[in-house]
Amino acid sequence: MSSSRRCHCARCRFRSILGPIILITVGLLFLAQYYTPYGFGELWPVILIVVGLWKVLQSFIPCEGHVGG
Amino acid sequence: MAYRRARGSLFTGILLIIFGGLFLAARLYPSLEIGHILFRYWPVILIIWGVTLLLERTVTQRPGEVRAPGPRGGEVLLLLAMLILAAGFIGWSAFWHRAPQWGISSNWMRKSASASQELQAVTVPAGSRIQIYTPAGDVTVHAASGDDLRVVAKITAYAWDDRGAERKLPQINVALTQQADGYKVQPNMGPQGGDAHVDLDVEVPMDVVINAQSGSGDVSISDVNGNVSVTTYNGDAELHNITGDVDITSRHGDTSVTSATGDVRLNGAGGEVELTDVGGNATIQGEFYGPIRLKNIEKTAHFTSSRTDLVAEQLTGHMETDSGSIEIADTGGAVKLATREKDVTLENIGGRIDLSDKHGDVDVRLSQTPHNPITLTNESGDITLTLPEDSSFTINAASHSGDIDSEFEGMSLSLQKTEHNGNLSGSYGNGGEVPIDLTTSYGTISLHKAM
Repeated sequence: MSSSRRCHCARCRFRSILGPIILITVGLLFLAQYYTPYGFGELWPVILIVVGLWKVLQSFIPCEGHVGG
Repeated sequence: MAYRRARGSLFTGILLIIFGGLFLAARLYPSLEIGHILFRYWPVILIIWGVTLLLERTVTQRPGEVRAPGPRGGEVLLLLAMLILAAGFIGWSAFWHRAPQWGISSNWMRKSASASQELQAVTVPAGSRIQIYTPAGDVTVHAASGDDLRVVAKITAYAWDDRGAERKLPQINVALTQQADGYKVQPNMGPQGGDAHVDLDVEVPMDVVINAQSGSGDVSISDVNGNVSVTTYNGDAELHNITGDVDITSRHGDTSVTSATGDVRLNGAGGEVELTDVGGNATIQGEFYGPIRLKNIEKTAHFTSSRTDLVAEQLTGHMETDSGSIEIADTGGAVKLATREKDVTLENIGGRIDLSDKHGDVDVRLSQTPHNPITLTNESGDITLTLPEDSSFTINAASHSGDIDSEFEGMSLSLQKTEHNGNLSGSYGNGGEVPIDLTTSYGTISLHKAM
């Protein structure tokens, strides 16, 4: 992971959006309890699904111009 | 490392989505047993793993990149982590399902303060609708003679320390508001909301319509002379002696209704269900992991779940089902049942029988000579049919990749067996107008004479 900081290929840039995505998801899940009958206690597996989708998408994004290991 | 670090593993992504979906489904539909699903479909994970390894080799690999030929350590670790998480999840759910029986509640570490509030009694005209709602706490409704509506509330506030609980307590109170068609009983949970239980004990006149709802707690209603509707999320519903229709929506708990003169409808999901002495129809729709017991339903019993579709007319006897079996005994009318992965036992059915099953054994026993058609279809399971000796019928039985045994023999019955199949056809007794159709694959068909 240390080398990806220097790399600007599409895949490495995509990799860096995981943090914000998780923050947004967690925020939405905690808000959900006020708008749906479900709260974070029910919906936490959504985080796994979001990370999984991110991983799947990542493997289809080209990494031309990748530098580093 | 001899190989380049591969980026973005497809398999780990798919694995996360699968397990995330499973956990989510299990949280939203508590009757779903993910342990069973994993136990049965774990080979699918191996297949997906293989397919993704192939895909990565051809589609997503970048030119010149060499990748380890087998599964990667990270993937193995993630799979193990997910399986451990699943085991933990199943254990955790099982624990909280049983926790109330051991006297453990989710507030066990919290401090509480409680008080009782008795509301001024009001007079309600007959036929009024009484709406009772508490977000958390038990609701008890009982009818008494007279025209008074009396509410006694027990309010319990929770906080991390005693002072917090005592400060919160006075902010919560129960209000009785008049509505166009009756009254509404509902607690005002105070500015901070939540974190409190309000148990409501309500005494109503006999002739009222009741709508009761508890977000988390039991609802029990007795002796009401009017229609009753109940919604529970995390608690049980117990209704007794209702002169009218009953409508119950449940999400997690058990349901019991004894003695209702009208129709009883139950929707949603939950655990045990017991309906006894229903004067009308009994309709159960949803995922209840059971056991489900119906006893003495005067009209028709309907039970619909993802696996089972049952209609039993005049179920004056009983029906009982759990995850692996279904048993119906003594009906005045027809039984129509489609299910799978359940052993089915039917006894003394008064009308026609229409049954289909898969991966379970079927056992039908009649002590009276049949007068209505019997159709039993099974896949990967046995069929056993027991009839009185003096029965007369026209039979057509076929077992694909299975055998047929018959204690009924006669000139006009022909039994053919080949290495893989069995066939029995013809008529028995005099007349023989009652058609019996039995079909199974990978199972034995047995015809017995009743003792």
